[in-house]
Amino acid sequence: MSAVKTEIITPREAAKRSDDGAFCPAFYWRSFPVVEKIRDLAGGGCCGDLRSLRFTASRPRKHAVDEASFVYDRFSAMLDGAGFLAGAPCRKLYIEKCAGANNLFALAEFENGVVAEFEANECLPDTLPDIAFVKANFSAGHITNQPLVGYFNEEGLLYADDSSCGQYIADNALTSLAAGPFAWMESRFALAVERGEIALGKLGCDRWLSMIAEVLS
Amino acid sequence: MKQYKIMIAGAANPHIPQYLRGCAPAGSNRQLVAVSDPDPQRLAAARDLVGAGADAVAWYGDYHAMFDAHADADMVIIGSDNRDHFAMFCEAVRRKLHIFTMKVISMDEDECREMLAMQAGYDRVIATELELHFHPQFIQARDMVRAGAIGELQSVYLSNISQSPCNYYPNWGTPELSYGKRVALRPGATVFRGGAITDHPHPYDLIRWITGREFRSVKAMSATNQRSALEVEDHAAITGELSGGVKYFVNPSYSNLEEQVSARRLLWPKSLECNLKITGSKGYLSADFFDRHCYVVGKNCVSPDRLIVELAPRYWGGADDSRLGNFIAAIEGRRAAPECSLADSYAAVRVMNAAYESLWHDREIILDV
Repeated sequence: MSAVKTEIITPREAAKRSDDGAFCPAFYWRSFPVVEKIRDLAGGGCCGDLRSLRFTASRPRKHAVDEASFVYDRFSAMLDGAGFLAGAPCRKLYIEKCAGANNLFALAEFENGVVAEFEANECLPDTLPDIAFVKANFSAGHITNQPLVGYFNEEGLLYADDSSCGQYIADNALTSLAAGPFAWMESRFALAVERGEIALGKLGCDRWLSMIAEVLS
Repeated sequence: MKQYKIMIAGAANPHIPQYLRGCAPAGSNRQLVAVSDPDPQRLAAARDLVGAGADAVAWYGDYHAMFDAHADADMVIIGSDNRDHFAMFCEAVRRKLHIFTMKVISMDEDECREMLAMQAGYDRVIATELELHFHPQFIQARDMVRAGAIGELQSVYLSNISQSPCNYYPNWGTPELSYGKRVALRPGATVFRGGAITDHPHPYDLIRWITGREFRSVKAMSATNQRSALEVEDHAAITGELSGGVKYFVNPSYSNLEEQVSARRLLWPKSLECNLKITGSKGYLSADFFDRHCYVVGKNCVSPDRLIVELAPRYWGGADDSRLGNFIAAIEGRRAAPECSLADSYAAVRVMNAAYESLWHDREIILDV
């Protein structure tokens, strides 16, 4: 253990320092376990050679910092995370930032041919949680914590504003959005009945009810 | 009820199997009468896909011969390699056919403009296959944006990431067939145009369709290919600005790996990601292609013994709401025009070519208004 405590400072502060003191910039993406996992497995050749990276950092407005801190401190930490994985100097950087908002897209190309893409924002409705994903695409595999489907993996269509966050399901034959899987099931069932796709009669309900009653008695 | 006789010209496009199986469902007013493809192996595979009804369909190695033999056919589905779309289109126009063409209509913008010029005054219906217009979550997104639920748009993110079809449609990896000619991705590069960017017009089309805005600037990057044997690009990431200053991001890549076999088998468990995210002054909306999905593992599944994501069954609206139903509705006058037009496809092609130009020149490309 070092006797001198290392000072974690913002990347902007660190860039200005000219002393050889015990400090480092807050490049915290290096310690994101997903990044560590990618680096560990990549180092062992598990998935072949790294080709491209996808970084997603979406946050609600309540976690926003000022625009300069967002771009120069927080986004630079994402870039560092990509560089940490790419293992080569960055050759070119494109940034598209929304004016007056902590919301940007960026592309970075590294000298070894790896390209990283970035979606960074902290302007979402406060009803949404933080999400942080990284996907690493290799010549012979993938490593990621990105959900297989959508934003939370299961939600259908997500709409959020500052008062609520809803998970809806659109279905062409239904007249309105279903507010979740149960509303969706019920609406689809009603439509199936209307279309004559469901057999008429008890559908075995008497048997189910008697079995339940028997078990519970 | 009028019976529509359908020809399929070319089976080189990976979407054609859907039409071979389903363009003329039992009880519909459609009949598949003929299919052509110059590749005997592909034509035989197409015949297998049609299955029990194959004997009722005529099979040709040349589309001219098919057109000659079926002068009473009403429409043609153009499913050749992209390079051949234009010639088939011209021939179909000469024969006064209704035309349903796979995307992209052509990567040659001069050809696109010629097709648009031919369409003017043509008294038959022409549609392109931009199938994501028919998915309810994207229809809903469009309605919500247009109704102001998102407020003033700030940014749009849309990925269109798939596996590469080049193992099971090897023609898809030949630059001349997909892009129309051999153009290096960058000066001196050994990878050529005609891969993931050419194969994925949806992001540009959907963004225009949902937001009503046009692409104004394009900055693209492309990583070293994941698939070293592939001659065409398998990765791209693109960002820039839409009209009104709205920022966008698009990833149209083949960056989900497939198994290295000649059949369509997934390695990454999801065949397609079309993840839409829209931020605005009032709210945030997100939707994915697999918004209602199931996980499937099966020893006889398309990707045996591997967990994959499949779409949950969906209800379609009326008969006019399917891709071909919509096309027929335009023919019969129930719609003023088909849902997806040549102009839609051309608008997407312009952005795709701008992305290639951005890679070639290593700079931002500004699109003319």
